[in-house]
Amino acid sequence: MGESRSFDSGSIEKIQKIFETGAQKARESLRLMMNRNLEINVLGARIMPFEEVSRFRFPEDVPVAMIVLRLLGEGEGFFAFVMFEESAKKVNQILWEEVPEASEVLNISNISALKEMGNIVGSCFLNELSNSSGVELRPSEPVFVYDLMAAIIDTLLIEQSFTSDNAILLDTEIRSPEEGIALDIMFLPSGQLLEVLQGGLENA
Amino acid sequence: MKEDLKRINLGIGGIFVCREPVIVTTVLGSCVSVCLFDEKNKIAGINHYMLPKVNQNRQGEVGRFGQTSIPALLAQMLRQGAQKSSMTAKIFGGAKMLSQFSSFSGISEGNIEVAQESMRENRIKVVATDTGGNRGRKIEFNTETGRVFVRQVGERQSL
Repeated sequence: MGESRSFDSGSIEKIQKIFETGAQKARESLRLMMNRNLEINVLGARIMPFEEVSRFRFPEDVPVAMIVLRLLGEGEGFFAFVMFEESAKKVNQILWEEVPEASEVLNISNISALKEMGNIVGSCFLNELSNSSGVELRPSEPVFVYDLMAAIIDTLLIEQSFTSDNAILLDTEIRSPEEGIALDIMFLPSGQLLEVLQGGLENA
Repeated sequence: MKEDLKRINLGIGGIFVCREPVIVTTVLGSCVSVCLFDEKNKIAGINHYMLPKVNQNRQGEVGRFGQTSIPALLAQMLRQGAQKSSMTAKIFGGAKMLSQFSSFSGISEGNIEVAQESMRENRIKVVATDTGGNRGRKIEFNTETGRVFVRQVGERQSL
């Protein structure tokens, strides 16, 4: 895997630390948005074969709700917020202060709220990454998708597969056990973005 | 489909050929799987590739590109004793998922085209296809019968 060998572990550790600062800001933003203290833990960076990403943390053949932000600017990649439908409903119960029926599906308002949450949290991480590295990065409009985990992931990994045999994943979790909320954030940078970030971090 | 058959999961870039009765499962988004079945010689094979053609800057794994994965699948089938003249093909996947990120859509179509083109070139009859659309698929390939079951997230769940 060309780019991951050239991307040194020191730079990955730096990005992880930057994400930890981003997590603090995201936690504060979510507290204001949801009036709840959610745990946000940066679990670490992993280099793994493509097929393992799709079954990482979530079963590959189970439907999940995902908010996807494409990275724009000096590099490409994705931020993906992954959750089961139940968690998506719990988030909406808190945001809208209403309790939907168990059988009720996510409606346009629910999806809009999830997108907004993804946008806010994603921006906290991306701003921190941009400010620390000097690399201009901004998120696309958030996109909501509900489908089989592996089906979404194989599409997200297409761009990485042009230049790599493996994926680099920065894994972060958002949790509120008492509220029944469990989301995972996957940061999937392209090899090109990693190179740009490494250069930026060396010069920072 | 026999429920007691051994189940094998095929990941991205995988190629699997066998004479034994098993259920091969794989989940496809924009990726494509070609299922080949030689009923006469009882040999079955399936792949799961991600991109239509090899990027000129790098080779990568054979299984990741339709251009290299399909010939490799075919070669493995022939080595096991299958014959092109008694093979049939089924093609699945190539969904235009996340079409908002427009660069993906051409890849899905390219993945489907490379499969169809390869079957034409090798004169292998395509007896079933379930391709395109905008939703992922889980497929279950029974290597004993050549039958393939496809599941998509239902309308209620697809939002």
